[in-house]
Amino acid sequence: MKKLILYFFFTSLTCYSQETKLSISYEYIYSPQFDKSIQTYNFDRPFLKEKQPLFINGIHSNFNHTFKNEIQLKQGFSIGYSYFRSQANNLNFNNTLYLHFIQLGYLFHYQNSKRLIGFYENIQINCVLGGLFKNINDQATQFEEHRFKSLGIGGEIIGLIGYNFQKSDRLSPFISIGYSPYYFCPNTEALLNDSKGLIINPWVNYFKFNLGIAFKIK
Amino acid sequence: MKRREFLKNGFLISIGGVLIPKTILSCRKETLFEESSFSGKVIIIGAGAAGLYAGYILKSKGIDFQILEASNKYGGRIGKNDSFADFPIDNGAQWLHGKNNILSDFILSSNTKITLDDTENMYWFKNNLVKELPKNPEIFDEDNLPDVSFQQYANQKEFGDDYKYIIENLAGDQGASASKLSAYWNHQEEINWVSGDDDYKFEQTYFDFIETQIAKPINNEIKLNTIVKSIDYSSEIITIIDSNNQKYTANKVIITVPISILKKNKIEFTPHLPNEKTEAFSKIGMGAGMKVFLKFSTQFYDDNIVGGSICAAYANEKIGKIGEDNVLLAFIMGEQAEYLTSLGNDDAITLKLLEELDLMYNNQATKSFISSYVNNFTNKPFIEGAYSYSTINIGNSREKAAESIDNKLFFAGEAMNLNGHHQTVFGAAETGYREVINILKNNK
Ligand SMILES: Cc1cc2nc3c(=O)[nH]c(=O)nc-3n(C[C@H](O)[C@H](O)[C@H](O)COP(=O)(O)OP(=O)(O)OC[C@H]3O[C@@H](n4cnc5c(N)ncnc54)[C@H](O)[C@@H]3O)c2cc1C
Repeated sequence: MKKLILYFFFTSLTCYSQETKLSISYEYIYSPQFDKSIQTYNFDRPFLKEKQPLFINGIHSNFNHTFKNEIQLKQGFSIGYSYFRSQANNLNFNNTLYLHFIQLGYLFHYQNSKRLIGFYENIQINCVLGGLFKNINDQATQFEEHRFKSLGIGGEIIGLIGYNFQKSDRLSPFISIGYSPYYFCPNTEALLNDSKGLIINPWVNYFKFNLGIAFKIK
Repeated sequence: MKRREFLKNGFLISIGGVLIPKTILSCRKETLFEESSFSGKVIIIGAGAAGLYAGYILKSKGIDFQILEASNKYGGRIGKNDSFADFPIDNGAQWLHGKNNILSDFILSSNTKITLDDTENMYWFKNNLVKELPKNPEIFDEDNLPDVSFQQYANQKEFGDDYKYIIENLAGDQGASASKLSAYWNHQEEINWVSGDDDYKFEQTYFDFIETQIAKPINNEIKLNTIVKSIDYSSEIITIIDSNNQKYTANKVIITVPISILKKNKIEFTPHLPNEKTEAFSKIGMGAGMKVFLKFSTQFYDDNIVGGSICAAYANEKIGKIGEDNVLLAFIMGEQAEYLTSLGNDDAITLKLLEELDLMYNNQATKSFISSYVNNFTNKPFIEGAYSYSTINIGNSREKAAESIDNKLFFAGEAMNLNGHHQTVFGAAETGYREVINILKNNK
């Protein structure tokens, strides 16, 4: 059944779409609130020699699809996934944090073939769902017999500039920047630092920067 | 666009891309206050978990500090007795409540041995020991609880007299009498609890862990037998005077003494603390509490006995320990502890407990009794009680109590924990580092 749905999904895309792209990119993230929680964690645990790295480097993959249109500004949708990991290996104590985001969004694709040949711009507006998880010594942390997690929801706006090679437009490198106001359930600080009172605000902002390559499927 | 043009544009774009994160990266340090400009002196009053952890953090930051401790030992409400049984027993705190907390990380990383205590309860109910109760008394975790005492709420829910000491045990866990603990506020304050539900015991003691990992590295900075009598914070330099009239000066003071000491104005402040502050202290509860260890020749008792009218909670002390001796702990809080304290001496307390155990176990207690050890926190001059609890109408008193004054006086200790981790050792430690952060934050 799953295979059938996927088959119809992809065939429908390839039949009617203007363009379908898969991309993979390096993602840089900057969130003052995440930083502060991890910095506090490192500050109050001098017994851990190796510091917990901040969430900085991640990977992002994206599937997007623009609809057929005669004008230069096209529209479409996109589904993305970002993954970050922060790991500190200390003697007897290996702490790993996992941060996942799923982005579902609408995109506007602009290509002015006369002025900037080969370049295109995307503006993307996403709804973001996220999850933060922690493993200690390779075991998921637990709270009340369930995996201890922090889930969140937010919005995201992304500006992307890419380039289509003239000879083969199958591959196109791109860079993008994005901003997200994001609401995490108040467990975030508890998960990162086992505390709740130091950074009370569950609102998280993050900025991101991506550098990657997109593959045109159709 | 020509290939060369593309390369030029592409190059500029990537330079921009790399530079932006680089600029942000430069202000992204891994640790708070990696370079702190604070060069003053901090005095910490009290060498319990909060004071010791604050000192431990200050030491790691290379900040000048001294801990003044009234008693002749560090640890406060954490301690140990090596001589009563063939395994070390915890005088005060003994269970690590849950694993999502700072000390649990420390325990794991220092390879300190702990074991899960998953022993089951037996209830003393209608003069019988039973495994299960007809009605589940765990009614205090619900939302929309009224701001009435545990006892009143249990009455409202029609838990009759038969459940009186079962409810007393639930309140006793929170260090209070069922008649004084607020159902509403206890729940509200516990909502923030993130540490988890399981209880762990130390193969050695909680004290051993605190001593080797936290106290020893800062031993040189701890001054014992120093009872702080007054704190003058009227000028830039704070002056502290002890009971021998010795003077100490500091730029910042972290006060970690138990809330009972602050409630009773045992330390004089100049100028007086604001009314709002003293009112907040007065609203935080701290009741009587004691631990009595009873050694027997045989283990005739169950691992946990709940609901006695003299002591609502007994626990097998041997769980998680390596040793042969049969030691039963009587964990007594609130009105039960007040009553036993009023008996006046340790023998009378022991006799009362043996009487109750005899009733429960067919006179086996007195027959196999060897010795007892009473550790009454109610009478300890620098503790004066068990731990803080949520009184009716406590409101945001903990927040008010924990607020710093004039960026000079900082308040820590289990009662000042706002994470729902009050009443615990790690909760006290959390307030210790929190106040160091508050000191450094305001002095960048
Ligand atoms: C019977 C009992 C059982 C407990 N069981 C557990 C448990 O199983 N698990 C758990 O996590 N917690 C438990 N607790 C609670 C835990 O012990 C406390 O929350 C924690 O130890 C409090 O640390 P603190 O630093 O806030 O205060 P304290 O440990 O009380 O430290 C305050 C220090 O201030 C000193 N002081 C007081 N007045 C002055 C003065 N004028 N000048 C200088 N110094 C002064 C005192 O001597 C003391 O050393 C228990 C407590 C009790 C009483």
